[in-house]
Amino acid sequence: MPISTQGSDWGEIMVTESKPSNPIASTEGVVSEVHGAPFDGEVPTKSGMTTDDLMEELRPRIREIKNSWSLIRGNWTAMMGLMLISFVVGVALLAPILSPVAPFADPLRLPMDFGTPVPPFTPGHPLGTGEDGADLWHGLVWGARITITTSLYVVLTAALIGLVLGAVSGYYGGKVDEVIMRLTDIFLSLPALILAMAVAAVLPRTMENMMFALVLVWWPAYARLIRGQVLSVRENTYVEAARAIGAKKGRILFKHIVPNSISPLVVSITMDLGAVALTAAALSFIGFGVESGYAEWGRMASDGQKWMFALVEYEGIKYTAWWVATIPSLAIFIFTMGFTLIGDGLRDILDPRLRRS
Amino acid sequence: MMSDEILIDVRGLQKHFPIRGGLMGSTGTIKAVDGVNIYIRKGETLGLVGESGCGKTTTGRCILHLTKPTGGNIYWKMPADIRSKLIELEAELAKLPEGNGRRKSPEQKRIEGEIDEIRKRYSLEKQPSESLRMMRKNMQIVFQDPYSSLSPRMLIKDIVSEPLLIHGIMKGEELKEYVRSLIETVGLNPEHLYRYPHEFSGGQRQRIGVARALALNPELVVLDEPTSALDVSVQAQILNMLNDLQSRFGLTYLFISHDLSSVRYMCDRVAVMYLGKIVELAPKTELFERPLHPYTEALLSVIPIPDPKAQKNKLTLSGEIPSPANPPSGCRFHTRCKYREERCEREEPPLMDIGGEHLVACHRASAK
Repeated sequence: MPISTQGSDWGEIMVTESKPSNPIASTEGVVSEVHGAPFDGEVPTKSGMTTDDLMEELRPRIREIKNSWSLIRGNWTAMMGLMLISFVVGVALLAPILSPVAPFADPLRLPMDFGTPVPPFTPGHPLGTGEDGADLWHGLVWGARITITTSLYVVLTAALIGLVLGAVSGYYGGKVDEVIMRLTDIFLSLPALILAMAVAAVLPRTMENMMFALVLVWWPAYARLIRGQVLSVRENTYVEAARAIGAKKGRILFKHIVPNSISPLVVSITMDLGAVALTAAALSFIGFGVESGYAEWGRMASDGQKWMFALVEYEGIKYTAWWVATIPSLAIFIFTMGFTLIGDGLRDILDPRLRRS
Repeated sequence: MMSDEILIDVRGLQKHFPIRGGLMGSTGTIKAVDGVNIYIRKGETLGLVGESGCGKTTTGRCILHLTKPTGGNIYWKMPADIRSKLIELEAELAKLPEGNGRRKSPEQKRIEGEIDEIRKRYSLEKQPSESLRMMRKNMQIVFQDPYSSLSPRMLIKDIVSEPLLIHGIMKGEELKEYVRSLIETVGLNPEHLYRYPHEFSGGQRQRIGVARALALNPELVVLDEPTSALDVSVQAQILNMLNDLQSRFGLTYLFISHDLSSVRYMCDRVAVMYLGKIVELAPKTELFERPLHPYTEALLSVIPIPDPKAQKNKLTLSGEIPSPANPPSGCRFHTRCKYREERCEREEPPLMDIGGEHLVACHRASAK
């Protein structure tokens, strides 16, 4: 092999050693045989990676990330969203400090004093209390954890299922495609909330079952999205080039097609993180989520609605207890808004017309 | 560099695409490639020219089995004696009277059996798909569009080393060293390995495409209009590099192009295609100096001459290229041919050798 500067002369040997009787079959084993040979002297380390190598591998990727970051920084909607979300995530992380829990108590249960609701800025209850004297501040802080984990779990699981099924469907086509797409049709033919309600209704009322119901209604949209992307990406010449060098189907799909198909999925995931939180809250609100007294924003808003127009008396003043429903609703609003803004910004950034070509 | 050994022999290659649509499903076929016979000797460059839509790219892709041919055989490295035997057998088979109905005469069966035996050994069509995949080591392609032929999310290093990883030829430090020397061979810098394709110009990308094709040290490289997407100044650089690589590594090229000037520069022999068929095939100088097919003549007459004073007699072809779904009867070119005779509409002229490796499919030329 004249290209190589070292002694790995496999090309020449391949030509001379291949039996002329059947060149197609005989060229196979020969190459790998020859390839054991040049390594008599120095044996490279098994992993073969030094820190320098690693840096060299990472540098172009870091450069790309830096470039993307500078684009995000220039996009004010994305930055706004990012700030809102960082705030919510910060609250969730600091929950044990912001609202300490008594030892052995379940932090996700709202502490109650079984009184009537008290307004915000009451000593001991910075955001007031709700039904049965449940502390809203505690619910808000710990509810952030629930909302974030639920959204992440639901969206990432659904996206993974959708990615695999959609990619397989788009790439293999034919019967496989037909089956998977009709399946998504069944799911998409029912409104998401109704289907999630139906699923949640037949299962015990736990957080896990609600998440399961949401995953079930969420994946078909991702499968559709990825399938469409794969259908267009597979027409690129580099996919054909991968075939020309002898790549197997799985490799072509997951190394060449999928990495080039996922940018819309990223946008979709970001936006859906907010949307899932909203739907989860809606499920809780209409009574298909967790039980009352749980630090879940939708549940808290639901519990608060009956106090909206009820009069409560506190220190001699009569109030309509608007805060019981409004405060958790505002939290849901901020969370959803944050991800929607990030998603919007990302969509602008990932738009190939805006990116350097 | 050129030897007499025939590297690849394409016989009766057909690619018919079904036309979908209508109430009844398939409503006919597009005959993109319709019975192409070409062979390429080891170390030579065969040019394949023709206007857009004549099937030249499809031919190249069929040879590599990137699209599956619907008919014909492609023989890889068939020794000369077996080739002549195959041709004899095929001729014998053609001479035999048609068997009545489905029954085949024993003579027919015997010849078919022998042909099958040869095909099983040398024809790519008869190989199981796994060995065909392994076979890709020996045949590579450089694509027309350098912008879409490199995956935008892979580093150049990964693009160039992928073929070697797939075939398990090298890994680790050895692979790294090899890829580095390979990228230098195509005139790029090893620093370029750690970049993404979008950081390169068209010409540089095409060099990367060439490096990827050469990584497996193939014997045959199909160049599918490798320069048509590039600037003229860059075109020359790429062509020179390809020529250079050919003499260094003893490569065999199938050069597909519609640019006759670069074909003239690159090729040893040239095949002219029209509507899915080869109409003329001759050594380069012979073809350019003595074109016999009226289509070739028309093509050659429109090559620009870089001299404003030169007077040229341009032959413009009237009319459009007919649809390959419904090619004209007889000679496929007769609808646009200025020498058209009555028999051109009836009889299809065979591709005949008129001496000196000059093959032409025209009643007029073979009558001379």
